[in-house]
Amino acid sequence: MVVNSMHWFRKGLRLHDNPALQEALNGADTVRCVYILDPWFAGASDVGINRWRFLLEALEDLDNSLKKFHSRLFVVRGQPTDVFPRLFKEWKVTRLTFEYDPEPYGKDRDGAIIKVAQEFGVETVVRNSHTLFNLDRIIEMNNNSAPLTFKRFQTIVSRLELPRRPLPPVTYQQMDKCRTKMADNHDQLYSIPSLEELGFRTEGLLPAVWQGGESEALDRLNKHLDKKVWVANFEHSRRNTCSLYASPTGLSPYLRFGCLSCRVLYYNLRELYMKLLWREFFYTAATNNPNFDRMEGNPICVQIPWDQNPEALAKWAEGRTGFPWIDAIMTQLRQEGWIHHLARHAVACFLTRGDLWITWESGMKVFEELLLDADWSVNAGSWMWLSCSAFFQQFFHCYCPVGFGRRTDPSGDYIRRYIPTLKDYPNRYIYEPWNAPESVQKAANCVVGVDYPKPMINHAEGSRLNIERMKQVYQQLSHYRGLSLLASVPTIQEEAEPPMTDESQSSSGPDSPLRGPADTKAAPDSSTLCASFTSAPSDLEDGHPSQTPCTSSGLHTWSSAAITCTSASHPPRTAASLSPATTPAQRPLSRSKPTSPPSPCPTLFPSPGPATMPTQTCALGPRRKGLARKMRRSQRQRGRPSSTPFATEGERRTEEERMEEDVEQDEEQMEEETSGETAGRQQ
Amino acid sequence: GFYGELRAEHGPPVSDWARLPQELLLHIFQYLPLLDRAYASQVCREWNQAFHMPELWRCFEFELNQPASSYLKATHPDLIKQIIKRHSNHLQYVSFKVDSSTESAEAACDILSQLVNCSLKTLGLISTARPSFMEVPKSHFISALTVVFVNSKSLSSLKIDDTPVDDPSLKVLVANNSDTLKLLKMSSCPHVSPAGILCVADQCHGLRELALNYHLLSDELLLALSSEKHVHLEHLRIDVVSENPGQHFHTIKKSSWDAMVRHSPKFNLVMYFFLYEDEFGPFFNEEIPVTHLYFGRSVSKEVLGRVGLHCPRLVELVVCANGLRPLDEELIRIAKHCTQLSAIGLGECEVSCSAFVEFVKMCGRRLSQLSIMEEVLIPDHKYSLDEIHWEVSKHLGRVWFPDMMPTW
Repeated sequence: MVVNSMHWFRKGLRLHDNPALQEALNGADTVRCVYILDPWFAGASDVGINRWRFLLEALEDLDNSLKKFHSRLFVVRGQPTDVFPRLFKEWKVTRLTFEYDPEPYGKDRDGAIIKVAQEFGVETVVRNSHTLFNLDRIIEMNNNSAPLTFKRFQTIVSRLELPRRPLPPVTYQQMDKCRTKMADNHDQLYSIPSLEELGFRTEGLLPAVWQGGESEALDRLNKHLDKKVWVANFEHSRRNTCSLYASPTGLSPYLRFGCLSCRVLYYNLRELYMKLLWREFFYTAATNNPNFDRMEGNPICVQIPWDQNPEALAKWAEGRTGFPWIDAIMTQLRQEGWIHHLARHAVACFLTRGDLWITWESGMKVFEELLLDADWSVNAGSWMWLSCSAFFQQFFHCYCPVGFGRRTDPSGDYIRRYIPTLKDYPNRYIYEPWNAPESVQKAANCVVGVDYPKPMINHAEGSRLNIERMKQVYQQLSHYRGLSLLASVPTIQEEAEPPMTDESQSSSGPDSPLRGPADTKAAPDSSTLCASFTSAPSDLEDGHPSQTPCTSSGLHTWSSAAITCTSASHPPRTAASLSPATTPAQRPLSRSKPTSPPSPCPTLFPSPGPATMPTQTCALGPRRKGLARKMRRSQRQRGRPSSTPFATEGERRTEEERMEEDVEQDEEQMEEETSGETAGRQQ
Repeated sequence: GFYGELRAEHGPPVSDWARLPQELLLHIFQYLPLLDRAYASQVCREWNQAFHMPELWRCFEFELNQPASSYLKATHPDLIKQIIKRHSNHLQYVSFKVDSSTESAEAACDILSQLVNCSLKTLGLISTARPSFMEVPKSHFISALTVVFVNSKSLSSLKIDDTPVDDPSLKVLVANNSDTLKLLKMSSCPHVSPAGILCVADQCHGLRELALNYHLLSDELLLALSSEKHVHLEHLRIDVVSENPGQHFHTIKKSSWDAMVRHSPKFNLVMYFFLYEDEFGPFFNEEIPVTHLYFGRSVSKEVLGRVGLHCPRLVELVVCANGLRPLDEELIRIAKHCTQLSAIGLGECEVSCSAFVEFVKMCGRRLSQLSIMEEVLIPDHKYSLDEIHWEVSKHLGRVWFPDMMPTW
């Protein structure tokens, strides 16, 4: 039987370590590599020109690589649901392959395409290669809910098998076996669009700082390793750079003679690995949560009464805040599409909980437009993290838009590079030009308020107010009780609050007024309630207030619906109800599970113990949770020795394990305390 | 039991629901959100009556938001009207949450001025985004607030932070509610003078919790709060805020603090500092009974050194930022002298790993909260970042990690 394969590129724009592409080639008679793009939609989307340029360059690079194999990339204009039926017929496709997309939107889209493929009798093969681990496994290992603290996540990951080894790049021989004749008018039909075709104006566009594409990526990886690890000139082929984690054998002579410190190697790799783990963490948290990128209806997001202020948002986004540190970062982001993670922390904190009190969703959208590496999950997750909207963050500390910059770059050269108007300011004032004496401002040819904006906010005052606002929010979240430094400052407030009904009091205890069943019920989603209020007829006169919008005022004077964590009216999302894609997509996926034998040595890098903070639990009963925990314990006992940095020091290890068990017991307790709430909130 | 009896008395079970005793209905209603109660009230006359039972209207939180300035929905105007008309005399615990718009704050004042026939026990005016009550014309705000003060004779808790409340209105408060007032929070109320708050402290002997800005704090105030007639104070929160760089701050005598501690040995003194580094001159030169200390801006090594010497009651310490030199000696001094310290948070600071381990060792297991940003800890010859997690955990008796930020 003839096998006509079609590989659908979306992410995973590479020929190395591309399991789905390998599946496409496997025994095929013809193979076509497709990228689908809707130019009209592209121009209208919120993605900025730098990100489009990066994508087009990546496609260009793919096409060039494929040309070497006498193949081409087919860039098809249109929407996937329209495009596929046409192409299936035209090319008599029998097999469709693509990389698994763990994000809720992608899962939905892919589910629809798998259906279309089924209708056309096309076999679909989906492979996981965008994340290190199978995210569903991580969730399963954490009692079927995504771990919400990084420590917890690390613990789970340390109990998994090693990530699957990377696959070698596609070879000429492989491609030759399924050589497909390209039409003469290929360029006419399937060429890579230009930025102009996508509706961008390119005059005055600065050259790209980040060149897109697989070749550039591999070059950078090599250089990175050169810089960090290689101590002598060393010929290395592309292939072994792909096996970064699996086979650093090329280094063994250097390690043997001590030319290279094993610790230098270890920590260099670990640093890289941590970045990957963070990415994985946010992917896991998002994969079953279609509302992960918004506050409303997002079960893990604390509801914070952010201000709406388009003017202030624009000043931030355009780098006109009057704080050189913030403005320089935003300028770099706009011009180049990448900023350092500390810089991301600074601007994210400034926009949200630090100074402007504007919702993280707005900031996320700006990053989505400008940041080359803005992954949906990682972007939203990091914004929630930095705005203290999720993941159990301490909120006591706001980055100072003056001091933080000065600590990072005392000379201020970074400012001078991105805000040339300030280039003649002395170091002393470059982070706070408004404090420079007038003579200094004039001498620097930049008068604040004329040539450069005045600071848009008094940081001391703004952060004072915002800390109070955060406290208001967090004091009402009983599962955070005792976890946040400032919110735990005692007050007699609760006593001054209205007495609860005797029953609810006895069920919740005096120190935890939010724990009662009444109260979890009384935490409504005011938006839904109010929406129905406005539309429903009201009959106030004869005393039937039909739809009364509700606040959580039911029991507590100062407690509020608006800022109670998660709303009561959103049903729990299950994987099945989430994505029609799950079932069909997972069948091929399960075949692609790592084939490495279950080894007692979980990861290359030792991972610290379990989280000290509670994770939000799923609605499992305590018994089931207890079981899972027991399993974890016995797993740990088996798997532990080789995975801990203290493996040689038996005594230490045992004590740490003992403490770990204590923590798990604490966790268990906390989880049980919160599970009632969580369950209540999610119903 | 209960259903059986009902059935025996009243025949077919269908009608039982309507005959549910009022107190049971009330109990059930208390567990329902307002909207569900509203739906239920349409079922039958009895349930509709239950909907209006005073017990269900004792507390209410008005949410006043404008679509242009908030993402949150507001309490519907019709409901507000209805509450004022039918339930204002039932209200006892009332709060207003307003967004950043002046309209919302004005709407709150309008409602307040209509609460003429109610007797409130608690009132909270809460700005959720910006201090929007400050934008309301002062006279409008004051007249609305005094309506409540005059009509509610047993106000016990009042939260009016960030509002234009003034001395004369506090006098009205005192004249009407001096016997009942227990809690007064009025941080950042620029129109109140030290004399205004002193009048409250002099008259309201039941006051147990007070929050205000440092410029209102005086020796006289502390002495008034520690007079024999006065109950023990439980919480005093002071915000020390600098309006403009280089501002000069007065000092409080040690003898006044001593009087406070003698009168209320267990009181919490919570202090929030938002000062420039050079404004700390008047602070921490003598012993001060502060229990919770928060430095919202950069604070110098020298000041932290003084904290270590003069704050024997310190329980919680948060330092958001410090200069580039490590805080080693300062932390160790704090561990040595602040024997009650149980919570600490460090943001943009630096501490060497060995000094930090020493600090934790000295404090031991009483450190129930230890929130240190990862970047704070500087590895040294004794400990790397990985070893410190173990060492600290050992001394705390539980697994501990520094706080992390995502590398993104």
